[in-house]
Amino acid sequence: MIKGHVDLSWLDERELYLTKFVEETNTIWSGGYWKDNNMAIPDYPTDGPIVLQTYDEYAPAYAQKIRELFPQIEHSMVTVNCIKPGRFIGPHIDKFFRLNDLAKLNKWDIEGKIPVRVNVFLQDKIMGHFLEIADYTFPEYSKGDYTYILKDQVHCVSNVSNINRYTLQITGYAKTKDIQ
Amino acid sequence: MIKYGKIDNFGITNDQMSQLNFDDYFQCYQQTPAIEQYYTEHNSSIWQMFETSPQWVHDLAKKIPQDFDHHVVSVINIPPGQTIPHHVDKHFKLKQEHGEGESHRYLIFLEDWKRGHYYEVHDQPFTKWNAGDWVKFGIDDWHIAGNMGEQPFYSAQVTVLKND
Repeated sequence: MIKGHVDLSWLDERELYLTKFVEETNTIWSGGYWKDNNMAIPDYPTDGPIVLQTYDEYAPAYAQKIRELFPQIEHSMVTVNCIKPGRFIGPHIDKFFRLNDLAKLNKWDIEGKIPVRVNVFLQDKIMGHFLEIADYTFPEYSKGDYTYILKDQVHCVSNVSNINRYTLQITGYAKTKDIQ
Repeated sequence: MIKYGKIDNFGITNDQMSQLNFDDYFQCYQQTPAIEQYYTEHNSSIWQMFETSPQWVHDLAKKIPQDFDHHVVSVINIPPGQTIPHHVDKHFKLKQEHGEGESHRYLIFLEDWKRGHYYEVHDQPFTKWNAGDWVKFGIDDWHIAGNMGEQPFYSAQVTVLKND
């Protein structure tokens, strides 16, 4: 469900379309979801499960500005995702490998904190834009609404519209009480 | 107007579902230039059966509101990763055979909702359905469907016509 809202009225949709993405990721393996659950890999179309991403120092200025709106997320990293029409990310679980590795490497104090991914909607809901987290679907949302993706929550996303789907994700650690 | 309802005691078994013998796999219609740009045979192809559907599919027409004079049935399988992008159905064939009138489509979900199965009509996403749930919509109602899950997405369509 939607957990909150930040004001993104300053963010022009044209900026989203000007975003330079540094990676095109094929998510056919769903981060090990099929293997972990002894499931056959679905016969997805070759260019179906693809997401465009840019992150951290490559992310545009608007992404850094939005990241600063979430001070409750510590050691935060930011990613902008674009799913083009007809593409999707199948069911998967975020394992926060990179975040956890960085925590160990840098000896961050994460006592009492959990890894979390904030998913910020950068557009109003468009017919065909679909997100499902732990069997919850989002029938309505507005630009600036956000929700949380926690460890072990299966989620998937798709774009069956004619318009690119842009979201921003902030990944870091948070105290449970701060992300209720 | 979109209407929703449910067929009580639906009773379609997994065995019946697994025995569906689809023989027509085709790319969905491309009704707008944007659809042509993004949707191809690779990401918007489905299986469908019409007259050759088994008797239990034909019998679904007796289980929905009897607000029509004529009908045709079909059953669709959207494989994982495939979509039915934005479109409207004009029901030309039904009207060609049975005359003019007001036509609608009953979309009947044949199984309980599964992760990644998605349907939306007129900006109203529909998920979490139970087997036997139906949605009724008209010829001007744009709708879409997709399957980002790991299992086939089965639905039946009863297209109905009430003569003028």
